[in-house]
Amino acid sequence: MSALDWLVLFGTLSTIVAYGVWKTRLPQGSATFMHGGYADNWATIGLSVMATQASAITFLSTPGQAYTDGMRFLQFYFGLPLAMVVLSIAFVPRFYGLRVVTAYEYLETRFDRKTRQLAAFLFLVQRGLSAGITIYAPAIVLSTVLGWSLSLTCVSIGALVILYTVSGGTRAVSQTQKHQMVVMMGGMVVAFVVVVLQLPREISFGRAVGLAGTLGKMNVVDFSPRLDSRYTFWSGITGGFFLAMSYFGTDQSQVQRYLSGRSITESRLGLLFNGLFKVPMQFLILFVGVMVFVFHQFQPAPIFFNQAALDAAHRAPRAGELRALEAQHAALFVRKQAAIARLETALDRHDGAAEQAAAESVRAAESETQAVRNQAHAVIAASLPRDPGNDTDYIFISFVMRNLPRGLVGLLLAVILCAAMSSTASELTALGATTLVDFYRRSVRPDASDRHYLRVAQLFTAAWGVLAVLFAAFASLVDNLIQAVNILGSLFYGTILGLFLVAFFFARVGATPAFIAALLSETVVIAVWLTTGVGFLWFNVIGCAIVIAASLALSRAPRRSPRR
Amino acid sequence: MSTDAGDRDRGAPASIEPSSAEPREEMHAAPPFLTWGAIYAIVIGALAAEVAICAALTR
Repeated sequence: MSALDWLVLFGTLSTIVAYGVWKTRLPQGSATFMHGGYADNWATIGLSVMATQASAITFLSTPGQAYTDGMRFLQFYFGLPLAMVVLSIAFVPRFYGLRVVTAYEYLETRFDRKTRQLAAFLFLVQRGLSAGITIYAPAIVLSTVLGWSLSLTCVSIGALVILYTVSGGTRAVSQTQKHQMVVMMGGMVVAFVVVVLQLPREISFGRAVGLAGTLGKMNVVDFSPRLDSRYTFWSGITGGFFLAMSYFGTDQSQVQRYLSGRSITESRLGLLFNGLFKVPMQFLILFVGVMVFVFHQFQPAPIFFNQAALDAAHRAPRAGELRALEAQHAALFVRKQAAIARLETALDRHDGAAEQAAAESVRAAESETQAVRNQAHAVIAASLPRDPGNDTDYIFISFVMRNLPRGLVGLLLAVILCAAMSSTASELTALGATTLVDFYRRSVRPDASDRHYLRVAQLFTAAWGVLAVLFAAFASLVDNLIQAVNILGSLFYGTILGLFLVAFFFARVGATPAFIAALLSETVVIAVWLTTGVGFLWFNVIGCAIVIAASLALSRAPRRSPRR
Repeated sequence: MSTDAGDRDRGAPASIEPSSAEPREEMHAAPPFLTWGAIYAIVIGALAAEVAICAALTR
């Protein structure tokens, strides 16, 4: 990395953090620390909500996913705008009506303390582990690509986030996220422009999109009712809706963002802003990945994008096998180039038959290239002490490091680190607020002074930050654990959403049936996870359905008349 | 909305009735330029347009 890149990287990050600290330098109370003084307008809320959801892995992984699997992942977000409308109508007014700081407070007003604390506990477990992963996931990629120390990268990200979240609370998080989001989207637009400008001059933008389509990357929408396909329009509009409802409606890291609004109108508009711009934002990120793919139809790509793993495999006993695969990969690149040239000529001449034949040749060469890449991964995995996993997360950062001009490399690294910091900051403030409001202030010290609560809120936020950094930096994390944490999240989301839906829409269900139904739901979901092969995304649906059905059934159960 | 409203010590409210002094109109207030129905229609309409554009781009 050049000195200019370092300057851009540190200049961007330190300016944003300093601004966040300066903007919130005035003394504040404990509740202001947690809800930001109800001062945010809709634009700040909208950007803050989007920045919370967009973690570093969004910017590292999503373009790589488009590179390997095309645009179809976009369909996953089709349910989100609908969820924003439902949340604006059904959830936000209820939270506002009681002026709650955490979503779980609502459950006590509707049910009782134990139900509230059960939901809050499930959130703390799930989000506490996720916070570590939010720091770890980009740190492992950046440390591998840039040669940075993994522990130092985790500690640096964590320390910066702890600095401004502990000093400024929610308001600092919202203020920094606004600027972080601008940097993130600006960086992705720049990356898009650069990759398009680096395509060969004779390839117009339309032809580039056409080539991506020929190679199956413009598979944006699939209306077929196939259940075996993970991403279709129907699974996106239903499953995506359900997940967005759970995440934005019951996860304190998001609820805290929109409850910091100046008014209910600002909060609703902030959520709807997210609903309006989320799909275009994800489209841009995925489309950058597709353009990187097209770029590599004209510029050779490495056989495996995780260069550190590739280099290590070259020093292992099966290096000869790997070199043979690389030679095959290079030969296929030449063959594919020739087929693409024939395709271009056929398109220029409007020769339909030749166009179809050339397109088939391009597709065949691409299919063989993928097969060779898969073989190379198998050889690398067998050569190293630990399988490095697939290289999807390394595709975009690899493109950035090799092909972006000086200065822009620093900007794109700032994008990734801003994303890591923004999502971690929301998680830490939410964890701190939930620990204070739902446990400490409710059950340990209900009558302390506000100054005491402020100090304790800061302490809890810092403690969760330190835990997250320790979890990320020193635990022996592997891919399987990352997946385990995702599964852990899905194990709890359905139950929490179920509790909120029962609270909102089934007035006759009382506290005890809801609490028993939540425990039953968790037991069944965990049993399903342990004993069946059901995909973990379905746990959300199962958990929610069981809470609703069981609480309704328990409420219908005949009660004994009290004896007088 | 008062900035210090949330700073007061709050125990668990006893009922689900709104506990704040927020005027009820504020709970339903729409921005001055559009109604809520129109805003929701814009969000859903934008989604429909995005899906249509994506379908047109699909190869």
